[in-house]
Amino acid sequence: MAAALRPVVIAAALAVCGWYGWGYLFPDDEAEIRAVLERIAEGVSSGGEGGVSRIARASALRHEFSPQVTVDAGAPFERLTGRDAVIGMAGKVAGAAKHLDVRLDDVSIVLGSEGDTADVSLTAYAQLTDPAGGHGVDARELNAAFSKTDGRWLVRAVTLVRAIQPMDTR
Amino acid sequence: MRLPLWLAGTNQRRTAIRVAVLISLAFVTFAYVLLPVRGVGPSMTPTIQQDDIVFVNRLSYQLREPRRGEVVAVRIAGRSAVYVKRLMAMPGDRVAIENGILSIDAVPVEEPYVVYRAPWQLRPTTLGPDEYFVVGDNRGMPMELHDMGTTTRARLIGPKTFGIY
Repeated sequence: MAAALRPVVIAAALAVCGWYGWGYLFPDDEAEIRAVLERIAEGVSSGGEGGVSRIARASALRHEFSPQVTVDAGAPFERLTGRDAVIGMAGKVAGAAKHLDVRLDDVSIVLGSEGDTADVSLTAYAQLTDPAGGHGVDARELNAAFSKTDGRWLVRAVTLVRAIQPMDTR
Repeated sequence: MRLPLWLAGTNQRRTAIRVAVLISLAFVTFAYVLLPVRGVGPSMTPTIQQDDIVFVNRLSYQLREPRRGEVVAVRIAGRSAVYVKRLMAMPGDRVAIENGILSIDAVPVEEPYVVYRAPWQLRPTTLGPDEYFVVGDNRGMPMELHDMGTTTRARLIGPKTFGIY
């Protein structure tokens, strides 16, 4: 019985390995976008390393954003336009913290009909320890627009989803 | 390992079951029923002060609609990042603030919980079908520093049930 089952087990194991191997070697669009988000979270986070490695990590984010990216993540951050401004701000924020841990969770991806754009909603969580040892946490819901350029998914725009919409004052 | 009698009781198996039930109940309560929220910032002063803990009932709004005047949790992001505000106007209401006095459909609202009041001004606005007006109780702070405005039904998590002050 066991001998008869062996080819089935081997075939099933090969199928599973093939499935995961194919997904690893040829990730689909959603997997690529999730990987971009993971790299961004990793690039923005910092763990008390020196200035040079922090700047190098922030600079690596260059490959994840389109040159004309706009980022409106809400106060206290100003609205940023352009990849250099975004990388500069990422380095500045990481530099101001002793330890900064950023996670991008609750990711939901809707691909455009042409397959070269995607709208992503996500929640950004940040845990920060300042140089004085004080702790802070922040969470905000964001929408990110992605576009595929030369086979790479790049962030084109990031906007804050406001839980409370301000009203007209006079 | 044998636990001392005062901790384990006379029947250790029964005690273990009780502990397991209590832990399960606590988990279910805090994961699905009560959301503890720590007061941060001055916007709900004096009702909720910095570092006060309030508990929000997540189930309430599954069973009934939100009511005007309730202190509610408004979801900002994820499962537990929330604002705590007072729900003051419902869809279809015409809301305005004139010299710090809030009115609904041109009728001034009596708000005994508002202790500090600055001359805020808010243009009369009729709320849309899924717009709820929320504002903090501290109307003495500068209006531009106070997060208030409209939110949607989906973001209203539930009302405050009790607090630890």
